[in-house]
Amino acid sequence: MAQRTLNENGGNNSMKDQDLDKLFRDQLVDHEVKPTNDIWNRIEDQLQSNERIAPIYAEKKTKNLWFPYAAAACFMIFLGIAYFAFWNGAGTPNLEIQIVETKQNSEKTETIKQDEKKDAEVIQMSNTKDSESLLAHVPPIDNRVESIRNVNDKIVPTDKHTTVNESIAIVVDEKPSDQETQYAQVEAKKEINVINSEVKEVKVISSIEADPVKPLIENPDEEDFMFAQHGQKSKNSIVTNLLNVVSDNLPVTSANEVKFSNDDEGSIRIDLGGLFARNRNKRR
Amino acid sequence: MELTKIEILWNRCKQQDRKAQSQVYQVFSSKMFSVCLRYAKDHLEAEDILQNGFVKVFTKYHLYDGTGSLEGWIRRIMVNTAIEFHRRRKIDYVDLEENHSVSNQLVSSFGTDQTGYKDLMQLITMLPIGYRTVFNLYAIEGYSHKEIAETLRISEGNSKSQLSRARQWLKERLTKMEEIIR
Repeated sequence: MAQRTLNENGGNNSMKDQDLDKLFRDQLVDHEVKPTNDIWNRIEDQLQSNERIAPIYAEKKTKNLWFPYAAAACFMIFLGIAYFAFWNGAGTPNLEIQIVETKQNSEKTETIKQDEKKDAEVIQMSNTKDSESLLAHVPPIDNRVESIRNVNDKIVPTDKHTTVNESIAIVVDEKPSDQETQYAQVEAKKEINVINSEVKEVKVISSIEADPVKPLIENPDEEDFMFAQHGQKSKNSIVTNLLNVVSDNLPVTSANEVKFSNDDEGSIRIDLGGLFARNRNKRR
Repeated sequence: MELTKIEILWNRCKQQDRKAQSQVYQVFSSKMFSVCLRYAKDHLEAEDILQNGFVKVFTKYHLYDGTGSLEGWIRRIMVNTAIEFHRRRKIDYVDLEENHSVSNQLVSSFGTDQTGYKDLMQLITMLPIGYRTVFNLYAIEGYSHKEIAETLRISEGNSKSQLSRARQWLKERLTKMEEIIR
């Protein structure tokens, strides 16, 4: 298509395409037009704000690539600890209970005795030292429940007596019968949310002969100086539960003397009352 | 191996050395602004394209791997920025209306200092946007139809037909301009 033909326009209508392109290109490709000065300022401002917001991205890209891996590693470690804390051991009750109060003894039993007439029920639960909590075989008890009783100094100890901390919303029907009737102390203020209960060692004892009354505390002469450990209404979170488990399982504090809990603002609270308190006979 | 002045400056730019960046801007901005003017619908838009383009140049410096000239790389960034602008405004490159009243507005400056450029530039800015972009890319930037098709997300056939229509349009206007001179 090389011809240049004259047409009525007498112009360049049939100019070669390439020539047309060239015509424009020669003039335009390297042409320069000076922009106004403020454009650089705008560019600079934009660069500044980019660098302020995302300095890591604005500059080097190779920094801190290990962050995600470190985070993942920490998370795995955490999972490992949590696994051991909550789901450890074979044959121990496998529970995730959100108990509102902390546990005290490693051997806890709760006894509610039922007299021969079956007015009350004794539930004996024993935990091993590993297990954290427990509870509840609430269903069978429910029908016997009437009122909640908080027995403090009227507790008649038996040889199976222990400190009770779990919150069992159990109600014991009191019947003024002979001294064989025993009551366990039930702290009725708490609630239990049993998520998953596999209580393996709940025994229901229908009637038990009561032993002669024994003193609550070991050294009666010290009584004036002792103070009972607080009824525990503490709140726990995962962190505090974890800490409690750790402290429970340490050889030194196996007696549950140190308790962790969360206070209202979420801070962690350490209760050392267990070191001093003597509520009742400790099981030997 | 000696480093050229530009290479030294560019290395500093990569460290976000503001002074070096300013100097690189001084070196290339006029040429790049002209490029922007060819693609933009008006002066203001051309400034925006220039600004965004250079910000990209200084923040995405790692994309320049040293093959080809720095100027060529910067120019490509400008062109891409310009096209992105239009994309955002959803300019359709397929259909275009011609502006038939254009010829009345032609002003020729043949015979003045800025002869060729001014006239031609004027013609370019009057081209309907689709034709203009394709013509710019093909005739001036030197893209192939394949590259144009990829960049604008149109078919190669579309690119070819737009190019030929652009040329025809320009030729007609050129002729008219010459008539005006006579």
